[in-house]
Amino acid sequence: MKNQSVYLKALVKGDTNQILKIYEASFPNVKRFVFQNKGNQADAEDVFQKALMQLTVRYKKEKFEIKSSFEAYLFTVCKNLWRRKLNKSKNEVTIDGVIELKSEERDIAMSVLEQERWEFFQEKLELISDNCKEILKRFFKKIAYKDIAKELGYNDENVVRQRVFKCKSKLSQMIKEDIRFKELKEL
Amino acid sequence: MNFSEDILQQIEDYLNGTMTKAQTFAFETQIKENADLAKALGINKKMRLQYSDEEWDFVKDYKNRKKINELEVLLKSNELQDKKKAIQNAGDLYFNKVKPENEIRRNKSLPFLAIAASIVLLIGYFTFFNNDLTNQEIYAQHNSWEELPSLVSRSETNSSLLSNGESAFINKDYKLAEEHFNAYVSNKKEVNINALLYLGVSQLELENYNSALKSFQKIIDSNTLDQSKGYWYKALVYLKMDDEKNTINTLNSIVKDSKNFNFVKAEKLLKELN
Repeated sequence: MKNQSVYLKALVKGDTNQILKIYEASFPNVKRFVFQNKGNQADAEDVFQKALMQLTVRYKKEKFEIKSSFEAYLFTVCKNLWRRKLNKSKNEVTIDGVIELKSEERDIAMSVLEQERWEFFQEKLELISDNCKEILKRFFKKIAYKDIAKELGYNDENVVRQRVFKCKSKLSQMIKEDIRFKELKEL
Repeated sequence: MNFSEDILQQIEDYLNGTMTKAQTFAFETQIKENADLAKALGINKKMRLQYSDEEWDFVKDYKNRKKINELEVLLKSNELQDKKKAIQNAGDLYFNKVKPENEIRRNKSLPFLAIAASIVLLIGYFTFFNNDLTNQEIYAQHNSWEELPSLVSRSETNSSLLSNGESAFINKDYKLAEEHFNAYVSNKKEVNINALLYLGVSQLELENYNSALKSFQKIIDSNTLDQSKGYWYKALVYLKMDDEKNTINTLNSIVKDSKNFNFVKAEKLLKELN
């Protein structure tokens, strides 16, 4: 697909007309998602702008390739940023009432590292068998074993439990074997 | 290392928080003694966070200073700030484009008078009814400085100069504000448009017109996307000085390009002055 690098380059060039096209193609979906998850218009605009800044600085730092469509990729980045925001306000309220003062730029910088690490873990999940993937995705969503058994057609929850153990150790093996993990672990 | 199902289950129970106090204590003792178990627990914890739909795995600032600093510096560079501007401009274009369309649609069902009223509001009260305003009166309609962006959120060295300057400015102590912003601007190698704006406006309020013109000229010369703001404020200085010729000349620089700051306002102002 050709548009990924076109849009990334437009961001790095600061090409307002092309960036406008990104808004036209992607903002409505992002807005819908944010609205469905406790956010408002200002939140959606903020997340979208930060996502574009994140892509800009990442591409500026080091060129990278997007394997899906640009729209799908941007949507994922926005989703993560929104999840991050929701968890952040939760954190800020609970930690002794102390809110760390950070520049917006520093915050985006941190979100870049988090996004890169998140992508590494997703990439690893894609490498295990479909069967394992389906089970683990549900497990990490905290769906009960008996519901997973029903949904995926296993005899009982015990079978699911054993599958979860097997698949998880396979996945963690793959994560640990990747040289990038050593570096990412430190984050 | 392969663990028995029993141990694997213990890891789950521990992370789920479903162990009794005694079980927790026993398990934590095991972790201390068994590095492999500690590792297994660690990666399980990480996977739960990373693959969760709801939580988010934040990076630790103190562990990643170098990487974060590098990115932060890059993000704060003039180049990337310009890209940010481009993104903001695209956003403004997009949202303005979407909104007026909705409004036009709504307006169709409104009676004529309401449309006329909204046009009056849109174009501005004084262009319709106050054609005989003096330059000073026109100036008075444009010197609300609330549109200046706040400086407080910026975390950088010298930021106390900025925040003290800003609060002096808000308190209308322009002399003190001018001192702070002047100190800030002369200490900085790179141009900070917002600080220059505050400096210039403080000077304008103190009627140090030549200094104000110089400050705004620096904005014009800055070669950033905000550069055109300099023309607008320079025009206000000339307006306050009753220098109509230079006001018009400066406003003419704005109306050359619709992307310039306060393009519409400048067009209006020109009509009033002519």
